[in-house]
Amino acid sequence: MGSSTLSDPYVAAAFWTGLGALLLTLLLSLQIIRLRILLRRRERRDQAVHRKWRPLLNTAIVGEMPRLPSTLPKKEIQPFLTLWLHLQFSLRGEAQEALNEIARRLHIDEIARRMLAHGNRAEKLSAVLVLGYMRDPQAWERLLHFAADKDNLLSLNAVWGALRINPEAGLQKLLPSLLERQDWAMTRVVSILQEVGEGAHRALTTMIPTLPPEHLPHALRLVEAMRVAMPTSLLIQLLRSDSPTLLVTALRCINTPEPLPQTRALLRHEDWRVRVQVAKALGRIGNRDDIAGLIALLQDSEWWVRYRAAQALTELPEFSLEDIQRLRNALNDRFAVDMLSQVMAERGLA
Amino acid sequence: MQNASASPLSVFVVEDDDNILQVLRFMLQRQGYQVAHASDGRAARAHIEASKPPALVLLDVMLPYVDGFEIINIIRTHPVWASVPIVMLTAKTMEHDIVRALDAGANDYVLKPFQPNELLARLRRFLPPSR
Repeated sequence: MGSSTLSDPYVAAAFWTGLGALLLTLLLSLQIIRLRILLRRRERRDQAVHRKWRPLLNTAIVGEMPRLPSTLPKKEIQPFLTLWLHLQFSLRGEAQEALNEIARRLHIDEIARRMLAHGNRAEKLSAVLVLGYMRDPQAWERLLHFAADKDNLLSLNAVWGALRINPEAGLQKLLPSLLERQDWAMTRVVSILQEVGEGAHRALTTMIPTLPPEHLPHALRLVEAMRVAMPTSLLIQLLRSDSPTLLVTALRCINTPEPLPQTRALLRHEDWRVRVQVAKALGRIGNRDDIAGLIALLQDSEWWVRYRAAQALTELPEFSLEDIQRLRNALNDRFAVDMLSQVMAERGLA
Repeated sequence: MQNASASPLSVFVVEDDDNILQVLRFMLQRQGYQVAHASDGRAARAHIEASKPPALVLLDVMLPYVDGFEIINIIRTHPVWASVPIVMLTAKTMEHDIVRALDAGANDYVLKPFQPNELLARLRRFLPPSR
């Protein structure tokens, strides 16, 4: 390309743009190759560390304490912790204690506390898990601090670790956050509290009446997920609420017949989500006196209300198959008849 | 329930998690058993079609390509492997899988996370003593 061609400004712009793009592509390719090399190198290093430590950890897992090197070299810390945590996650009982004994002998608790204080996010996460599995009492205060962190993964795992170290004191300090923070995955919160056991159930039922109304729906969903029996007096109180969200959650927690009058009072609630839950609750706790109410719901304008009402009718203990068939023949509402027929077919009653 | 032509000291482990597989292999080999393994359902199926039956199959439920239930089916309809005892490994959060696995023909199950000694005790019910 001669200089006369490049003197045309459009051609020159195209030429330099093309050249720039080519250079950028080359740089990007070099960076990708560099990252690949680093990744391969790290994988090889991790595999070598795993090859060294796996037999020792496996020996401990089956009940024999192996002879260990006196220290864990700095470059082996992260891959060792990855393997150790994976095994902790996959095993339980004596095997976990054996892994903890290995960690104590290698002073992993000190390493993890340092990582918690000065590490990056990934190191802090590993450290929280390690200290939780090791039930390290010296990490308690620090874990409580991280339990209030905005990072939901780090904070929730810090809660788990703190509760493993001291469940009783941990519940007192952390239960309000567990009931209020909506950025924490409900399934993980449930599994953490289930790990604590009966103490968590007691603490939950004690704390719920003291919560402000805006936190109640979330807290009740947690109670429902944990299958904790709520005090009847509290449920009855909640069933008088004006909030449809609260009513829906309270109705889902009903499992005994005491709140029947309050449940029946909601049969004509203006919010269809409440009527759905009323139908479901009556299927669990209702009796023959609820047939008329459920027939009314069977003719509801909302499909889900009709569906749940039909299911509830087939679940009522005092309502036989002949009763259901007689009811279906007597109904004039085509939608109600269709829904009852569908549910009977689903349950093999048709 | 021992198959007449089965290798008396061999266990076939189907597990896709390499760390768990290594623990299981280590435990079983220390007890004197030979361990064959597959890390996905497809490899397990190929092994079943090509190999002599082991004394026991230790089978994970969640597997790539072909799941544990399908592998039970393949074993139970296989002319030579049909009577090999199967112990399932299943996650604690997937307990509904247990009924399905037992219905499909599994002999027993162990929940993950597992306790190695408990797992060995369960396996010993189906395995001949190794030494």
